[in-house]
Amino acid sequence: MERTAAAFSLPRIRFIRKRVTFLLSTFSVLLLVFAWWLVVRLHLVSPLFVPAPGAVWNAFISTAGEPYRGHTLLVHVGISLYRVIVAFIAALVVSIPLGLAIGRYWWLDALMQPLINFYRPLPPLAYYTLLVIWLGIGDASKVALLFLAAIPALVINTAAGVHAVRREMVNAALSLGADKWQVFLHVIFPATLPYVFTGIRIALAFTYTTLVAAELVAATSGIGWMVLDASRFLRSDIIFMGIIIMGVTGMVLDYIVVLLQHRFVPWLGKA
Amino acid sequence: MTSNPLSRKSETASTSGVTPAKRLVIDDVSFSYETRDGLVEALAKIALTIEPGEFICCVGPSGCGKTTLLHLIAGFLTPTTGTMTLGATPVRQPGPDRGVVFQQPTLYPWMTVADNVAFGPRMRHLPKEEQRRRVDHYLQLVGLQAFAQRAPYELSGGMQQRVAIARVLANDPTFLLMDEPFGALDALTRERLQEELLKIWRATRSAVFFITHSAEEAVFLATRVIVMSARPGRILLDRKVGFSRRVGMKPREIRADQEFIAVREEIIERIYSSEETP
Repeated sequence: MERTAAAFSLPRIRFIRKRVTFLLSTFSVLLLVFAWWLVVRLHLVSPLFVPAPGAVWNAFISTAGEPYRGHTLLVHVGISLYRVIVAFIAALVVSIPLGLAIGRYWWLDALMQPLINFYRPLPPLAYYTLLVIWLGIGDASKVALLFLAAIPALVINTAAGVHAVRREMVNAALSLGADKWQVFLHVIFPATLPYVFTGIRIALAFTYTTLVAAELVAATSGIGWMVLDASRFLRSDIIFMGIIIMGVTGMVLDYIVVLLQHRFVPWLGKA
Repeated sequence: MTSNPLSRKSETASTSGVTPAKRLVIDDVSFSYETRDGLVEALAKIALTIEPGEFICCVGPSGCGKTTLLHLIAGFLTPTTGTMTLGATPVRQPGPDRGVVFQQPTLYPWMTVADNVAFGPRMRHLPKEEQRRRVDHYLQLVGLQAFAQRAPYELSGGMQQRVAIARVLANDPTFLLMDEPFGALDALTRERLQEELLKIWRATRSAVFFITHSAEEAVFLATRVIVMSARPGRILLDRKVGFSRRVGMKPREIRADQEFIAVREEIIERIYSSEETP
């Protein structure tokens, strides 16, 4: 059969590109693992510093089955995720109405601006020490920390979303008979959703990073604490395994947000 | 969160049996605004009366204040001086009696086409049954019933603009305000929509205030063409035309008609001369 130009139509090219993307991505991961294996295999560094991929895998299997310092791996990860999710939902409940209000009322913006601008660039760990003094070393101080860490990106993006609403969108609603509250609920709020989701992705990544750092500083459980604890005993295999789990968990969290974004903002990039 | 005293007033007026057809009176309205370089006079003393059922096309050089005038009628802006009344009520804020169609469709992408059309009736708490009836009726009028459950961004530009028109009509407005609604469309779609708009106008008998850059479009659609001067905008020419009332004639025949071409050239002439004079 003769190949014609039509065989390379746009959808076909997109399909092929998707396949090739997947292959290339898989290849880069495999290449990294292979290089790692090779470095250990050729005894280029001591296994004390870089454990073999097999040893890390064994650490995964053993901590998944038996408790490591009180909890199995799954429970450590679960504790960490629980802290992130509770804090993040609380932050969403506060930040989105606050961001909408700040975007809507210039005087509220003026009142909040200096506070947010001051505390946004602060490294969360700096005020974490205070939170530990106030709330102790348990979940309360961590949830409070993550709650505070998530707020700035959520508020700022939501407020920016309100500012970006086209004036004509609002005018159209007003001339169709909507009152101010209806305009807010049915036009301004949905129009900010793309920005809200951008805020969620940034804030969630930041919250998760902050969590692991906080657990590294002061905790008795969680994936971050597990890595810290393992370092005291030079258990590189568990450190490596913990870091890989952290990375993968972070990717999964972000992917869930992307899925939700497709579900709730299907018009993104199309309208 | 103020309630709308205007719409309440007009509702009592229509229930007490006063004729619903309303005349718009623009009485010496001017509009200026402050910029860094000082006060800009956008409109200078516009006096214009629009009768129910008229189709007004407004043409003029860019920046002559056509859109400002439309925004004043819509209630998005308040006149600096002068008054504007629709029927017995002064125009002070936007309202469902004056539906606006913008150059770029302002459909809400988070709603289906049907929900977009139902937006006005829904915001005004009309009964569900009535909302559905109007959506069906007006989507049919613009020929898009088959697309009711689609998202707006799945439609072409011309189709989106037809939905925007249906959305405004669903409020049964006294006035249709259209700001170059077909300006962003290709020539063929544009001509089709012009013809469709005339059919809709004949069916609804709303008054229309239509801004365009095209003299041809103006002469084809209007019962009255208004030419405005460069800033500050004044009315240079206010001329009755009759081609949109020729129901029997084919659109192509009208556009090729000698008389049509003569009127079109007259309007173009007037626009050019307005740009030359300082």
